[in-house]
Amino acid sequence: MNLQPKALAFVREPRKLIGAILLLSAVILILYIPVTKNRRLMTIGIMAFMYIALGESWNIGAMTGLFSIAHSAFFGLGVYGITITLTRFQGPVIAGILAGLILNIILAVIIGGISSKLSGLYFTMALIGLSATIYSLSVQWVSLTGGSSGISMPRAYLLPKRTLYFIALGIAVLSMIFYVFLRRSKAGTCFVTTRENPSLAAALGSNVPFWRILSTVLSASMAGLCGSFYAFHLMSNNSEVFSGAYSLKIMMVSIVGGINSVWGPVLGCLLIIMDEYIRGSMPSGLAPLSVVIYALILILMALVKPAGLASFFEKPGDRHAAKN
Amino acid sequence: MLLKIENATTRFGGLVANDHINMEIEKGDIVGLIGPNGAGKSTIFKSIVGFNPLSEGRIFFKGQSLSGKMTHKICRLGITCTFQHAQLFTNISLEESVLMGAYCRKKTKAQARALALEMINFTGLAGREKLKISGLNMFERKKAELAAALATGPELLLLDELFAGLVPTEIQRMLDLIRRVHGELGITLFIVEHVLRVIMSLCTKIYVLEYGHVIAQGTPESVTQNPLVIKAYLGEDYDASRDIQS
Repeated sequence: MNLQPKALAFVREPRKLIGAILLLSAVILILYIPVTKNRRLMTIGIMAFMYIALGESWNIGAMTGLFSIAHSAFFGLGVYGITITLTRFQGPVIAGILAGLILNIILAVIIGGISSKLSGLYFTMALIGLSATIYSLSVQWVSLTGGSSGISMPRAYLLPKRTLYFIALGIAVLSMIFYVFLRRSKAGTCFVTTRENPSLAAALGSNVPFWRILSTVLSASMAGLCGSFYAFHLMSNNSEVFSGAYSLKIMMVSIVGGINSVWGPVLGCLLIIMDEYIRGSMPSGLAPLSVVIYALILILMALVKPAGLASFFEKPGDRHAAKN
Repeated sequence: MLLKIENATTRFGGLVANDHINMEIEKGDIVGLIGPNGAGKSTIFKSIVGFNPLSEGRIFFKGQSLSGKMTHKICRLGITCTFQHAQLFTNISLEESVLMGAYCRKKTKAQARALALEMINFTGLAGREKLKISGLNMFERKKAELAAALATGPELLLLDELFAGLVPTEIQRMLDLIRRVHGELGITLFIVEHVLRVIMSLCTKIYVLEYGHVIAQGTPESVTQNPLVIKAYLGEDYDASRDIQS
């Protein structure tokens, strides 16, 4: 019998209480930063929000077991799609976003198609090959991409920092809502069963190749949209956006935060905040050392909390065998 | 005729797992398939649900050829199976696992969920919906797999060693459950089983496979008295009458 009012549930579950307090303070902080007009804090916020959205996008791929180690390919196509449309073809912003989306959907269908033929190591190799191809193209196709020096967005599209901050916040919140919506829908059930046991899922009537491709397309499109946004933030874009460093950061945000949890990327973006902060405060000669710190954190997390930071806020029995 | 298998042959390289197999299943039957390990029982099951394409021959379900059809399409037509080692969706809740099956015929989540809960109740797993599959014991996992298969609304259900690894009291309860699946839900059953007590007490017709060939077929009594079967599978000194009564 449960006669206690619902609000008291927090008292009985301290984990949820801590979570609620942290969430409340985060919301206050997020709303306070634009008031301070501190450009550096706003930049850190923009990066953190963008990585939340990228992390959710990675998580949607992970729902079907797609372990995307080359997520920057999708992200970079978004960046280049909009930059090239705006500079080379003087098209409207919406055309640029669509260009990035279409490129991403094409790439995602290819990758999703490969993933239903190849598995494990071979799929990973194919993915690395594809992303290396795209990176090379972005460097070599100088007339279109500007080569390794990249291309800049037209000055007319320079947006105020505060506007960018709120757009980024919107993207992050929308991506979280989308993740939750998707996870609870029929597609979510078909995605996770594909990851757990594709043969059984097929025997139960699930069109496994279709769901694999759909999750890749959704994941890629979200990453591409983040890229389109990032182009406005960075303004001078170059092939760096296709690099492994971005893929690695996206994976770290998702894995350290916790795969298969909407709060995972939110907690994982603490890493990005730390990254931006440390890089800003350290003497420039020491900056490369930050990689060592990330590596140590990743190893530590793998040893201590393999299920990710988000698992701190779950009941101990939630993830495995609650026997009662 | 619900299912008709014509000259089904499956070769894996040089190995012939199924050699010109002919089988017929009528609506309402409970058909058993027995044979020593490696006789090709699971292979023919996998061919029916579209996991292994046949090298030769054809399979018809209600007069419609299943050749070249993908597994999920075959499930839509009304055939599903349970797997040999109760391989479920380990990290997913019981409710969502059964929900996956229910989405086969129900379009909205509310309808699918209602059907999933009905099947969870039917298999006697009520109250455990929110548990992950990894939190269930072997008996419960087998029932969960059965519930998920039933939620797809099959006309023909293939059970691959559903009783393996169960203790005698659980076998009895599972037998009762399977009889209800047949009687109350009206589902035709095709069963691969090593537990002979199950085969003998459930089946109306039995096929015996050895080295990919059908060596005998008929009622449980006739099959167990067939000298070929006794020699190949049951051993020289098997007493059929004892098993039938137990």
